[in-house]
Amino acid sequence: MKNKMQKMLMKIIPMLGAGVYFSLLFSSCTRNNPDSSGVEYMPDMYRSPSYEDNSVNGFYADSMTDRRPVTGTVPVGFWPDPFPNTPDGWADAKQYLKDPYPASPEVQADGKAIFEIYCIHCHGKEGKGDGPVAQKLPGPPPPYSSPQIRAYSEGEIYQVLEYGGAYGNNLMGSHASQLTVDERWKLIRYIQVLQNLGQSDSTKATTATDTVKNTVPSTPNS
Amino acid sequence: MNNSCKKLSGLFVALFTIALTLISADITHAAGAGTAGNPDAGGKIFKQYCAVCHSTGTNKIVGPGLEGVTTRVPQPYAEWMHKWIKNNAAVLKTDAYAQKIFADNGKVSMTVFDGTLTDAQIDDVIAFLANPPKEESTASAGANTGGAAAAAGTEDEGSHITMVLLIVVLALLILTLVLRSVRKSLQGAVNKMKGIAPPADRTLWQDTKYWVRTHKLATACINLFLVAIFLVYGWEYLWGIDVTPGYHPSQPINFSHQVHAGTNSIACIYCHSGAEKGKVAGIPTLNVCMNCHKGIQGSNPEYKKEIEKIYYAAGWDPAKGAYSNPSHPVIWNRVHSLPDFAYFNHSQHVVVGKLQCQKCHGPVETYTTDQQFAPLTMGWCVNCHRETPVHMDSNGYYTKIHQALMAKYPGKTITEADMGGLECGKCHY
Repeated sequence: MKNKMQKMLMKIIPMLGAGVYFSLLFSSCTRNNPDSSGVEYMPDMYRSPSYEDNSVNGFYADSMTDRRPVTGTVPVGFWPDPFPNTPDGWADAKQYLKDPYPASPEVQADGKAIFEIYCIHCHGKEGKGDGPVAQKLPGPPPPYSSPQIRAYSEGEIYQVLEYGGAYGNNLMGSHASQLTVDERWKLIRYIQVLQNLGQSDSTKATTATDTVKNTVPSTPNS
Repeated sequence: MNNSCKKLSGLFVALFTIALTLISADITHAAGAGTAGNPDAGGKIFKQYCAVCHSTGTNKIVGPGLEGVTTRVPQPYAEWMHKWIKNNAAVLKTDAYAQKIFADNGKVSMTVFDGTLTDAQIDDVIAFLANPPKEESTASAGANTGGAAAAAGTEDEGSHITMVLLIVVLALLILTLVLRSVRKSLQGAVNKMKGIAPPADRTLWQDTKYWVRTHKLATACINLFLVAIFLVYGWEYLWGIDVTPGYHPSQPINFSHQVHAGTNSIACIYCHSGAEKGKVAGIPTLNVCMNCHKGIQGSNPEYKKEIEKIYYAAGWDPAKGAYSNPSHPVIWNRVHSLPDFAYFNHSQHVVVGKLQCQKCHGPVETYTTDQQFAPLTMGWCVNCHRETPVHMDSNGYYTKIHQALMAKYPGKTITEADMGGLECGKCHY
């Protein structure tokens, strides 16, 4: 009886062994666990002690490696915000803040490229407030050519990009973290084209966007 | 005659009174409803002009939520609201309630709608607010979850096939062993009938050894086959170490690129704005999420849950409409990772090289969970540097070098390799 049991075991053990071997072989080929990036060879070479961007950092209480500039300092190439986020600041900006770029076709073409990255999904292709995201918002943004928005001066639009709409209180948030000062001013030149869309003379306005569309710096549209 | 005349006049008076009460009731009813406005038209106007700042619920966006507004404002509400919507600045000067609301909501002035909306349109909006519609938000929920489920279904087809193969191999092994024992007992029975002594009771191992001795060629072939398989798989396995295309770790927030970059066609650079400006494309900070999600709170419970994680992380209180809670950084799991000894700069490739994001990151706008597309090996980098022609036309960065290279290699397509893109020091320094 004991002998028979032993024989049975002798048969089963190699089979089990083969099963384990094959399953190991195949599991190493298919990566079933999505959270594992697989075997690493010499991880020291890949994971250096320096901190990567956006990584966790135990040194700071909030665990973030990315830090803000020290209070009171300005990074190289940046300017402090000229006008504060107060009614007075906005009123001053409306009056005194001016776009350093001319309203030339080249600048407007650059502005259009920026518009198509940062604005188009809410404000729509022509700034009518009909972008794909606008339909999911509680309400669409007002068209650029509406009387209220059309009344915005370049300085006021700058304040909107810097602090968000209505002092950062309405649905449009600040885009200061995404747009450099240069990009904002170029963008404003294109927004001004859209503000004037369909106002005095609709045919004139369409030709204005067409010119911008066709004017890439290399192919001057003379 | 007189009597009947009296009766008639009595009837007339009665009828008149009834008519009068009916009319007056009608008038009071109309006054109760507030205005003669059309709530359906008002709903459309509300969405167009008011919803940017006001919700129809209780949550604050810029101004207060307008649920039950008709019961809170000074009565008669229709008259007060009409004045307020038309020119809130004028009402603010005299009205105590208006001043209180203005102070409570951060002193942000509302748009003056005089000239934008007609009196009839304002009445429509007031009628809409007096009879708000019930929430209908589950319409698109089914379609969205359906898509996600379908995507999850196809995920592990490869491992299913291996499992099936494994089961077949095991079944065949068991079958062989069973047949062996059947053959053995049958042989024993036959031998017994013929009166021959039963065959020696050999173990499986002894049997195998006997078979190997008598089938040398077959054994050699099988061994060769096994060694070949081992070498091929082993070779591929070694090459796959630290090369992880398809790596798709789960993330703390179930962010779907398919919804954001696909359905809503938001440009990649909108969130990863670092890609045009520097080395790292960057994970967007939560203020970028909140640029849309301040207003978009999710159309079904599944989405709502994920969006609430953004609010928790950003410290946003949707009821108060303010960042009044403590913030908690989101710890995303990194998908694409280059070792530190290889230098890679996004802006070089996106701005100067004018490459599409999809060239290296694949069709991200179709991914529900972000995954690594390219192998990110050195061979892959070098191949692209060898093969991809450089965009030199109308590329200010190259004006000088373009002319020099055209003179050096006349008529040849210039690739990155021609400009020193294969030098070790370009990426390893």
